[in-house]
Amino acid sequence: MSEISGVMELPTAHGVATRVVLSVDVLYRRYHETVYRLALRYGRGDAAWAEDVTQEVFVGLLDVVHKLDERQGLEAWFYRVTINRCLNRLRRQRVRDAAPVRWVLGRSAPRPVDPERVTAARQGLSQAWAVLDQLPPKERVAFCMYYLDGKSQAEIGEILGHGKSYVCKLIKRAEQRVRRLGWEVEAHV
Amino acid sequence: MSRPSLLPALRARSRELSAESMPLAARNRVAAHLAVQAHARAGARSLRRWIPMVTFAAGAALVLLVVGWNFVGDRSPQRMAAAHRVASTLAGYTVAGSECTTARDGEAAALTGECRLSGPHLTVQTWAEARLVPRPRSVTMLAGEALFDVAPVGAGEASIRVFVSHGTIEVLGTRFTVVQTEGGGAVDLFEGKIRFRPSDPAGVVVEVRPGQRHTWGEQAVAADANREVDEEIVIFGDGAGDATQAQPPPDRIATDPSLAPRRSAAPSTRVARSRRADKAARDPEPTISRVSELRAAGRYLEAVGVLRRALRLRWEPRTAQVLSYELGQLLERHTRDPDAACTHWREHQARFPSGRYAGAVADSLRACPTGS
Repeated sequence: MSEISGVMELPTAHGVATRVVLSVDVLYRRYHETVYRLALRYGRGDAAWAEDVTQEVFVGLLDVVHKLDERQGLEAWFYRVTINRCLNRLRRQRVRDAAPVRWVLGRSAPRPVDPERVTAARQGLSQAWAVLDQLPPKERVAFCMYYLDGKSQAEIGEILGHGKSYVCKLIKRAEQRVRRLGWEVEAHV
Repeated sequence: MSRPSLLPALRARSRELSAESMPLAARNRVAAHLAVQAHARAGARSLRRWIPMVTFAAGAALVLLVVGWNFVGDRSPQRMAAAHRVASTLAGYTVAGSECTTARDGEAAALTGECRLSGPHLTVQTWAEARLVPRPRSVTMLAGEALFDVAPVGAGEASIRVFVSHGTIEVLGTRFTVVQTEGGGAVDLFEGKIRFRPSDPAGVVVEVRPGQRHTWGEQAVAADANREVDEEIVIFGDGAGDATQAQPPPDRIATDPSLAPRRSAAPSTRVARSRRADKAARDPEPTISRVSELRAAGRYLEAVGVLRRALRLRWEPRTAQVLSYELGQLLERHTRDPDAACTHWREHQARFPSGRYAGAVADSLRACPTGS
């Protein structure tokens, strides 16, 4: 039985394309669930939304895969990129939901959360999740990263590209909105 | 009055979502899109990268030649240059790949690492361990997972074949992955068209469409048991000649709650302005379940009716494409009205010109008369 080891790649255009394809393919297989689940949580549990974000993250990876060093662990990289993609999507969604845009696109208004209904019901995971929908995108993302993912304000600032004091302000504003909707938020331990 | 605490409910919901897996069809869609994007981008970039790489390689070889010549003395320049070239073929395929190792065992080849076998008619890529027997117009998949890229088969040419444990995949020009394990396997089709011909002469030949998965052996049994996991497999599971695919027998419809019509959320036939219609429009599951049930029962015209009514509602673009494509498939393959099928395909193409089914729809339209 003969053995060929250490086959070197032909430096052809096709070979380079193959290396990129295989690298991203390997990373996709390894991290697609991580990215998808994160997008699912930040995208209101919408599977199609999460799939779109997952696709965006890995398409973006195509341009930078050669710069990544897997020995340093890529979980943090995927977390940061996915969060920012989610934030961008939430912002675009907010624009599309604005009245003039809805009129142009011929879409019906998104169903508003009735504060009285939220207060009166006060139960159910869907009601709690609906509260997040009322937060502006950046406040929502900062709030979730802080309270659900346990990130520090400094870490959040690094991911979102803001200073720690601005992140503190975002979280405080989110907490105030949540309280105005009839819910309480315990202090982060 | 004290307020309820938000965080426990949020954390509970977050835990639920963290346990959800990406549906198989979604995973395959994204993977197929990535492959297309990677080749499109890298093809443009790599030419710019290739030139300095070759220049460096040439320079490095030149340096080594000089060093070798000066300090080793007995190494010929030809041998030094050859050491930096790929010198690997396997049954007529060129083998390439970083960290790829191959080992021959008679006709079979064991591949480890990221390997790429390039032949005149097909390309095979692996990224972990795989065992296969490569031949000029066929590959026998013994174990592992591989991505196949097959050039379109010309008229009169024999189809490219991939042999697996329980049958043969006849390829008509396409891209798909094959997983072969000890007891069975599966093929996921991304683009184009393939046919699965079971080894059992009494078995039914199955045509697999883009976005579908076909399984054999133990995996087919497991797929039957978990059919409700991926709705998109069910919706396409019973195409023409597709008897071995994910189509439940009629008696299963009665006992399988996932196939029962969900009357509480049935799609409205009114124009979607009411809150109830909006809610149904966002959730395609009841429609998909109903169509699957009707198809399984051979009630194709009723399934066409359900889809036509559903498509009058507002859906997100991806859902609308899937439903529209499903309607086209039904019209083309199960009604005696080719004009209706062609009209629908033209409408679908106009509505989703660069959608995920663009290639398949274009293929169908080629069979339609022009100008009608």
